[in-house]
Amino acid sequence: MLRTSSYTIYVDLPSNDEDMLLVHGYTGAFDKVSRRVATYVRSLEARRPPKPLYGDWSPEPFLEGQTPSVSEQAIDVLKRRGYLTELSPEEEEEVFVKFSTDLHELQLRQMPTYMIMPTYNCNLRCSYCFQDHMRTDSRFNHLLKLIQPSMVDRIFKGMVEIEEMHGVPEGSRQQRTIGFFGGEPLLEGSRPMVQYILDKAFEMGPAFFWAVTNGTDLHAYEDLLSPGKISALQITIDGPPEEHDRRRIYADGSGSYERIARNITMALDRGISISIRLNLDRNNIGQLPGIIDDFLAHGWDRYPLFSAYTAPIRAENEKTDAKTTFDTWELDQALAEMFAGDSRLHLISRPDDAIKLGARRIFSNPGKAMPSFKESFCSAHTRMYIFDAFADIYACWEKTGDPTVRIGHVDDDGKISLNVTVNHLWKSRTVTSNPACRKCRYALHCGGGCAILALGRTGRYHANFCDGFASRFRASVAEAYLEHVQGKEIQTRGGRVCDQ
Amino acid sequence: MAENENRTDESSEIESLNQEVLDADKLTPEDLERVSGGGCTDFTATCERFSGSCTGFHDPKPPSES
Repeated sequence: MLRTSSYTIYVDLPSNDEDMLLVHGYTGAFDKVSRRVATYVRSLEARRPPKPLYGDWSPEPFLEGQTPSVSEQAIDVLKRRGYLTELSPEEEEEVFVKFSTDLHELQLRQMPTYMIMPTYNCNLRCSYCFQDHMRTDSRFNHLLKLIQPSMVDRIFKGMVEIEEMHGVPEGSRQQRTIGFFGGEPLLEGSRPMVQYILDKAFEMGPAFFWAVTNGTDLHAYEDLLSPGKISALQITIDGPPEEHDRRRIYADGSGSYERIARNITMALDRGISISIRLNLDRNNIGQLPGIIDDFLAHGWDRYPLFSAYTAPIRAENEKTDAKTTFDTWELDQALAEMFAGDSRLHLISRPDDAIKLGARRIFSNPGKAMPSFKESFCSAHTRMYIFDAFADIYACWEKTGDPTVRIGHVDDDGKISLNVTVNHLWKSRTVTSNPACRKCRYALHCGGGCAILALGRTGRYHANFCDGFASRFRASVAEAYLEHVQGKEIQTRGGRVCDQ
Repeated sequence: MAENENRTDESSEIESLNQEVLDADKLTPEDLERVSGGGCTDFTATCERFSGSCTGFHDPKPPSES
C-alpha cells in the first residue's frame, strides 16, 4: 500500500503560504512542492513518529486543509524521490539500516586520523576545565608528565598497525592528519617534543598538523607555525579582554588575553588558520559585540584564515547552572536575533551554519549535488585515535585520562592492544544502534548526536542526543533556500573543532 | 543513482532542487562514496570550511559535486 516514507521531512518556508520544501532522509532529495502536494504527502503518513528516548520530537509544521488529490504523474515523481513508498515501515527501516551500515563500513575503511596529547599539564587554571582535577588533585600528578621520544616512536609504529586495521596498506604514503590536544599541547617547555613529533611524522610521509591550544605560549612555536608544519589552530576566547582575564587565568590569578592576542596576530601573519571558539551561555552572550570590537581592533577580520564560531556551554558539572545554558537550537535562535541588528556579528559563525551551507551547496548545483550523510556523529565512532603521553589510546578527547574508557594501548614494541569491548562500544555507535535514531527521519543529517552528551543525559552511549536538531535542520534549510532565491553570496569563512 | 527531471508535475507543483537521488535498493559503491560524510571527516586541504560535529579540525565533506 502506498504510504509516506517514514523519512520524509517537511520544511516550512517563512512568509510563503504557497510552497514548502520536502527533504528525504536517505535518498538525498530536496524538492519545493506546493502546499497542496505537501498536504497530500502528509495525509499518507502511516503513523506518528515514535517518541525519542528522552525529550520530545520538535513538532513538524502543521498542515491545514482538506486532503487533496494529486495527479498520477506527481505521485510517480514523489515515489521516485522517495517521499512515497510501497514498503511497510518495518521494511523501510531495514533498508535504512542496511544503507547506514554500508556507510559506516565505508568510513571504517578510511585512513585513520590521530591526535597526540604531549601532556595533560596546562599553564592555565580555568575553573570550568573538565581536566581541572588533574592539576589540583595530587592523586593525578602522575598524569602531568611530558611525552618522551621513546613513547613517540612507539605511537608512530602503532599508527602503521592501526592503518592496516582500516585497510590502508603499509607504505601507501597517504597524508596523516595529526592534531595536538592536551592539557595545553603547545607549552613552551614542550617545544622539543612537539618538534620531535613533527619530524617523526614527516619522516614517515606527508602529514597535516593542527592543534587545540590556549595560545599563551605560541611565541615559542613561531617557526613551526606555517602551512607546511602546524597549519591550523583553535583557540578559545571567553569574552572581551577583561572578562577573558577573569576566566582564563594563570595559577597566580593573572589574565592571559594580551599574550594570546599577540600570538594570534603572529600566527595569522605566518599564514596559519585560526579558529576562535566562543563558549556562550545566557550570561555572556550579551558580550559578543564587545568581543567583535576587539577582533576588529586587532584587524583579524582582514585575514581570510581567521574565523570564529560559537558553541553552547553545557551544564556538565556542578559549577554550571543549567538555567544559564542554551541548547544548540536556542543559541542559534538567540544569535539570529542578535545578528539581525548588528552586521559586525557576521564575522562569527552560528552553530548551524554548516547545515545551512550544506543546503546552499545543493541548491547552487542542482545538477550534481548530493548531501553528505552522517551515519555516526563524529570520527570517534569511525577512525580517530587519540594517544596520550603514556601511549594509551582513546576514541574521544572528552574522556581522555579516564582508564575505564580507554580503547587500547600501544605496547613497548609498537603493537596495538585494543580493549575489544570498549573499542566496539565507540566504533559501533551509529544511527542504527539505538531505536530512536533508526526511526528518525533526520538521523542521517544529524548522526545521532554527541555520545558524551547522550551518556550524560541517559547514562548510555548508545542513545540519541537530539539537541533540537529537527528544528535546527528545518530552520537552516529554509534559511538556505531563501538566501538562494535572493541570490545571496555563499559565506564560507569559519571553522570549528567540536560542536559540543 | 536515479535522475529526475527538474520541473516534474504538469502543474509545476513539484520542483526538484537537486536532480539526482539515491535508490537505496540499488546502491553502488560509488553512490556510497558520494554521500558518505561519516560523522566528521577530519580536515583536509580539499575542505573549504571547517564545521561541525566533533573531534578533529574537521569538516563534513561538502555535498558531492563530482
